[in-house]
Amino acid sequence: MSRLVSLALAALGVIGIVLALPARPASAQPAHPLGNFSVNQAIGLDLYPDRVAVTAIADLAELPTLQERPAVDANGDGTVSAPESTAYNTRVCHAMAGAVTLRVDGHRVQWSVRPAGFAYRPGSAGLHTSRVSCAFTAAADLTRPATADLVNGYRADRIGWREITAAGHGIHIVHSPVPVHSVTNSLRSYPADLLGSPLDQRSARLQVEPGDGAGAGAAIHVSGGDPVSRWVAQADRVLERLVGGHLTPFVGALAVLLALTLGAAHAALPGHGKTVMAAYIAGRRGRRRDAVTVGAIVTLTHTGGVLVLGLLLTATAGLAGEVVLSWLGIASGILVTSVGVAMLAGVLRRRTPVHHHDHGHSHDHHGHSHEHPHDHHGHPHPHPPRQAGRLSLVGMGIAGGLVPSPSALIVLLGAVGLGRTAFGVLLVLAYGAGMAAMLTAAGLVLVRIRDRWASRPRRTLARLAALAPTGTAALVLCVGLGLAGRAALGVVH
Amino acid sequence: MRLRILIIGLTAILLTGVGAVFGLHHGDSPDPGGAQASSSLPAGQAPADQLAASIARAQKHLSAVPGDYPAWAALGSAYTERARVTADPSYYPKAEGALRRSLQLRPTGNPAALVGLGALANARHGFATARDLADRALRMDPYSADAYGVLADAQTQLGHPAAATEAIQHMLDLRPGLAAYARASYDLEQQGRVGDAVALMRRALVDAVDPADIAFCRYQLGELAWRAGRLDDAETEYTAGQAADPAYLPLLAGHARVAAARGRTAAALADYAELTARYPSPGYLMDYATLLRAAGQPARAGQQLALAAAALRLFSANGGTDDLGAAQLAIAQGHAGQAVLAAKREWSRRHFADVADMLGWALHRSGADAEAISYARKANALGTHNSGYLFHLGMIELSLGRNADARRDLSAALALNPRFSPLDAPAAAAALHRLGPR
Amino acid sequence: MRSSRTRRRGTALAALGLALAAGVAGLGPSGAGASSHREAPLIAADPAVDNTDVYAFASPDRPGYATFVANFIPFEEPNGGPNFYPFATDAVYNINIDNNGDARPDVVYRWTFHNVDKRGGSTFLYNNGPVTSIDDENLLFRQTYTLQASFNGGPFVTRVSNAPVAPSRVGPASMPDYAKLRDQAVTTLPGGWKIFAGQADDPFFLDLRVFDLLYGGNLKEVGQDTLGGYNVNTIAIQVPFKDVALNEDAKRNPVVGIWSTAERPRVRITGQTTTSSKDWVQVSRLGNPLVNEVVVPSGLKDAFNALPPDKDASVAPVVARVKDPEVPKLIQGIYGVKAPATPRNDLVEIFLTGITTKAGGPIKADLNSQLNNADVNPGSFRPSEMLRLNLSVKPTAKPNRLGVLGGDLQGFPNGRRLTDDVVDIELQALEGAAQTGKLVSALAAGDGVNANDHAFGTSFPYVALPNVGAVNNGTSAGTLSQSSAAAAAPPRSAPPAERSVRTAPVAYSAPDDTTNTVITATLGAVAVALASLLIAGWLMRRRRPAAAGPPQGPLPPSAASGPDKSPA
Repeated sequence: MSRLVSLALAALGVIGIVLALPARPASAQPAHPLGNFSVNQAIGLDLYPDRVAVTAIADLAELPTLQERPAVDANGDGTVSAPESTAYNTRVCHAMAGAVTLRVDGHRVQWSVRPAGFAYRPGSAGLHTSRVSCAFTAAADLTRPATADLVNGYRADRIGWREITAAGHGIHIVHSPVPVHSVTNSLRSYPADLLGSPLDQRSARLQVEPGDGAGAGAAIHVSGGDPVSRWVAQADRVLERLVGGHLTPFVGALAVLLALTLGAAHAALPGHGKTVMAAYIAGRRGRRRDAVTVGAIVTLTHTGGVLVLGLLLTATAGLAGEVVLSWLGIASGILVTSVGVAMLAGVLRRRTPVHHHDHGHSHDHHGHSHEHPHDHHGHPHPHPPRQAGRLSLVGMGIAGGLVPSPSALIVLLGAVGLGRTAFGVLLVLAYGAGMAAMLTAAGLVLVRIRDRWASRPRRTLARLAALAPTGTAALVLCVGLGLAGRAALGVVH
Repeated sequence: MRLRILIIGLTAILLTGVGAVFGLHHGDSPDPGGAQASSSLPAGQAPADQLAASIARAQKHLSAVPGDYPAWAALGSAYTERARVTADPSYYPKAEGALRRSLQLRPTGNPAALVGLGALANARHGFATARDLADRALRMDPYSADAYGVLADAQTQLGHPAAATEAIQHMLDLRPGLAAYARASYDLEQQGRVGDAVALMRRALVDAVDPADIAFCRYQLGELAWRAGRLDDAETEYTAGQAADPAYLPLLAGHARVAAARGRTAAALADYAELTARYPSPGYLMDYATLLRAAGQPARAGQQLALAAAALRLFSANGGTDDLGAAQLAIAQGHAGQAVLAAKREWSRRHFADVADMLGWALHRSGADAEAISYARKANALGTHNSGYLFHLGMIELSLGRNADARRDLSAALALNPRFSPLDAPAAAAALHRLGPR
Repeated sequence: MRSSRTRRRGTALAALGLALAAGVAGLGPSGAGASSHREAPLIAADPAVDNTDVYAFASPDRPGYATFVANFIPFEEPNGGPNFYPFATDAVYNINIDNNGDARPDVVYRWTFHNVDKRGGSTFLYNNGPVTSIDDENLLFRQTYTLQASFNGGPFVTRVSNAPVAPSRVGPASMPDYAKLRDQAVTTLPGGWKIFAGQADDPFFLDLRVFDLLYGGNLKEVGQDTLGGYNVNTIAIQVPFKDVALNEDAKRNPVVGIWSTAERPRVRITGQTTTSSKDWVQVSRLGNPLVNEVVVPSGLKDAFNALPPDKDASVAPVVARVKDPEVPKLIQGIYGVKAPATPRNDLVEIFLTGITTKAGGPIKADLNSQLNNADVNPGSFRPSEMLRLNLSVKPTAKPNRLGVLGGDLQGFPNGRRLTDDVVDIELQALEGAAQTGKLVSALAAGDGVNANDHAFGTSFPYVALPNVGAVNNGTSAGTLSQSSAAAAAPPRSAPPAERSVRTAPVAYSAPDDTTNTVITATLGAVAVALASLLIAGWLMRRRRPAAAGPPQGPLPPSAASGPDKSPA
């Protein structure tokens, strides 16, 4: 077994982990870069078939917070007690509810107000900023197409960042003028974009209709992001538009080709268990067959997962796609972790001199000079470890394919929504084929590289090579934990 | 062999992919026109705000042609203007970023970026820096009226009136228009030629196109009338300014002052409350506190002063120095010694009329009248003819026992504008009354 | 490869960066405002004196008469509503003529405008009913003008006063018959002069994005008339040849130089502040089109606007830039078209002296220099930037948009007609077409805009009627005009493409359909190819069971398998 190659692959694995970590938002700014007397507001609209919910957040800078202090500290004793805080929160939320008007087809909705939090945070110069959260709900009949007009007139004269987001749950927003997700992560970090003026969205008009999908909002792209992800994102959108457009044979074939390419591209991006596969192949002396197997399993799992999830989402309106994806991510992470545990256990087992062989191979590990690289656990022979190995392969494959790509999901859902279910399934299959091709290719290349390197003995790295199996097993374990953890974070948020 | 084909194939894909990425990258043009945020303007009203429109255009253009360094410099200058007009300081870092980008693209032979940075420095009270930047820009481009504008502003605030006048004359000789006329009007006012100052500001008003610029000219005309005690004219101008641009905040301060002078204290207090809610600058907060004290609400006045102190602290925390404001606050809070120290620090930086006046008054309040009088005299010599300076000078002279001088100056203060301050005007009147007739 | 030039640039940049960092470190805070000191506007829009174009040509429908047109106030939005665009009343607008080559005006036509405002401050409305004639009482705001003329430095004599200005066209409901208003705004004087002032369709046609070339763009994005759909304010005059020619003899002295200026009175704040009607400050100037893009570097724009033509030759950097222009080098970098050798004395001829054999320039033709006037004293000739027109060239029946370079001697740079495609002509001239006499084929497409979106008229003032309705072209280019009054030529401020002042969120980009589809189709095809490769490889592998790879069976004891047996 080539120590160098396993080291190299382990290094790649580490890089993979680093890449897999959630990216930091581009140039996060301190909490109030917009000046010390701004009142920033975020209105998050959630539309359901039977009601509308608004999350309203106001983020006051140091001076407005100080100006408000007498109103908060009602008894003037210099401290803000919990009842005072709640009372202030309630007052502000009622004021905001009065200023945030939503009209559905011209009829103004009546909010029921629930204060959702008020807190001080440290700001500059020893002063504090404050954050007020409110939740409004109102009954609304959105079971038929309607127009929703949202106007935020709260503290209209104050300088500050004002944003509006709108997401539909079981409601499809046609040509939304506002994004689904807050570009500031609900006023927590503001993008520093030289070519963008501070957001000042005070009103939005939405055309809504009942439908599925996790709300097609206009995504805000702050300039930045590497060309590859941007290209992939753009290609995704092209595919979505092709699905929704006028379907001719040419367009259909084009869409299939595009789905193939996208599948390959998405498989090339971080994810889908390539790190794990690399580590496995490096550590367990995987063969071509293994690479192909893993690739096939990933694809089958992925395609199956997309189809099943798509059906589920189509059937049940109340299911939030993102939550499901997060849970799947956790499951995938747990699976990878168990594979890692299994690998580690295998390593440990092989370290103990208990070795049962069917063949007449006498192993004397001490003082036995071999001229070919000899791994403690690298023997490809029919053996219980081989069965465990196959199980690990399958496990890895399933883990890699368990979390469906959102783009594939959207394509399927879009197609189903337009009554083109068969076309959607075809596209998902093409997507899977592309993924299979890419993953198999990657795996085969890895095997090939490993084999080439294996032909050159590297005695000097014998000690390090001894660590390689453990290292890669540990790597797989860490990756699994990382995946599970990240997905768990997504659920919690 | 097969794997070789495989590797070749993968490389080919990779290269194609890279090429496609760049191809798509260039074809990718953001289209904000496709999904617009809805405007809060009433439907059908076309905006006349050239500055906002030009910023939007420049942003769009620069995303397509990011190497356009004159456009970056122009955008930076436009951001600085927008910060001035909207009082929104979040534009300052953007302005700085855009101007630095312009310099990065073209480090030499880029006077426009230097001028922009100079204007930004002025806005942030870095007057010496602004002067140096303007000088550098002028060495590159001796015909730049904008550079002369930045230089004039810096020299004025640094207390070099002759240099400021010269710079403004250059500006008038290069590009007579709103910017030059407005500065020339201020200069003439400082020279004491108030009638000519008004005439020039009216010329500036004729050239004003943007609502904020019209509001600015109206505000200055209102101020000129106010300082001359013509309350009706002042009110007319402020109202006309608000008709052009209701969001221009200084007009609200002007209204409040006029209302207070007319005895409509409740209206004045309401105006100040609104003003400080929208823009809690130390200056406005202290004016509000003064009025509250005059209206017999010392507790609330104290609150506003606390806010002003917080605002000044924030300003320092952000790297700025405003010792003039600190001195004014210290006097208002009764800490004369601190006021003297702050005013002296500011005086060491620039010999500006306001600073001289503040230093003189602070010294007076701390009992050093002999030293105070020279500064008060300097202020009256250097600066615009206004009741505040005359009042301070008169009270110092009174304190030194120079009754004749005191009577002259206090009478002049009241003659100019009988209600120039809710607290000081009655004080002047009372002092004159105590002095008795000549 | 880092050349020494790049390294020097890098060092200079680093040094400047350090210096700036040191200097700028004191720039100050970004947080709460301090005590306010008085801040006056610095970059204030001053569109009324913003010069956009000058045209000069022999009138095609009136032999013996020359027409001069000057346009101001670019990018006037024609979308109706309360927008209208008056001329400045505190400035004067001049068309200057130099017929003896000394770069000083020998004939000056001066327009001064006055407001007639019946709104009285109670309304902002432009009109309160349909306006059917130019003196209709429904038109609440209008302007009139006084035209003065000065000959050979003599005093200005008023030729007409209170002449009507064609109003801004605010819409079909308000002005059902605008052509009539336009006709009423053309004033004919005894002696044959025709004069006009008022709004018109912007006759300039070009894709401003071409000039992104100067900032790293390329000539890929062309073909859209950036100015299509916008209006301008026009002043125009048509006079007999003898009124502008030297010694009133257009046969002996057919060449005249033309440029337009806007001026404001000089104000003094030291000493007396009276403004004299004799002392003017030039706030903008324009002769040849596109001089600011093509010839004058951005650091010299202010100088160019402030100086009269007789000072041009003394500004060494301007002359240096004409002799060594930037655009050909950029084009060489992008298209590989070799830039002609410097010094570009052919450009000096075109822009600064006029095409003549008498100045020792390389273009061997006598076309439009005052040196070709018989009565000119060559010693007093000064090179200067201005449009030069040879009145003796007869108007052709079929004008060629490429003017002289297209074989049409009546076209630009011999004067400028409304139909001349000056961007293409200047691009070709920059690449040496005037000198070689051959057009450069790589640039044949030019900016892709060959004609105005409206046809021109056949009689004075020739410019098309103003547009109504919103402008539809979405993309915009061009630089933000830095000094509003000082832009002598386009770059104009880029057009206001959106009506809302609120900046839209950077919405998700709608991809360009054709490009993306093509590229992704290619990718798809390649992906299919790869898949086939894989499948083929896999099948081939299947057929060869003794493949080189790790052995499947148990290893023989102490087998030194040595180097890998797999085929290389």
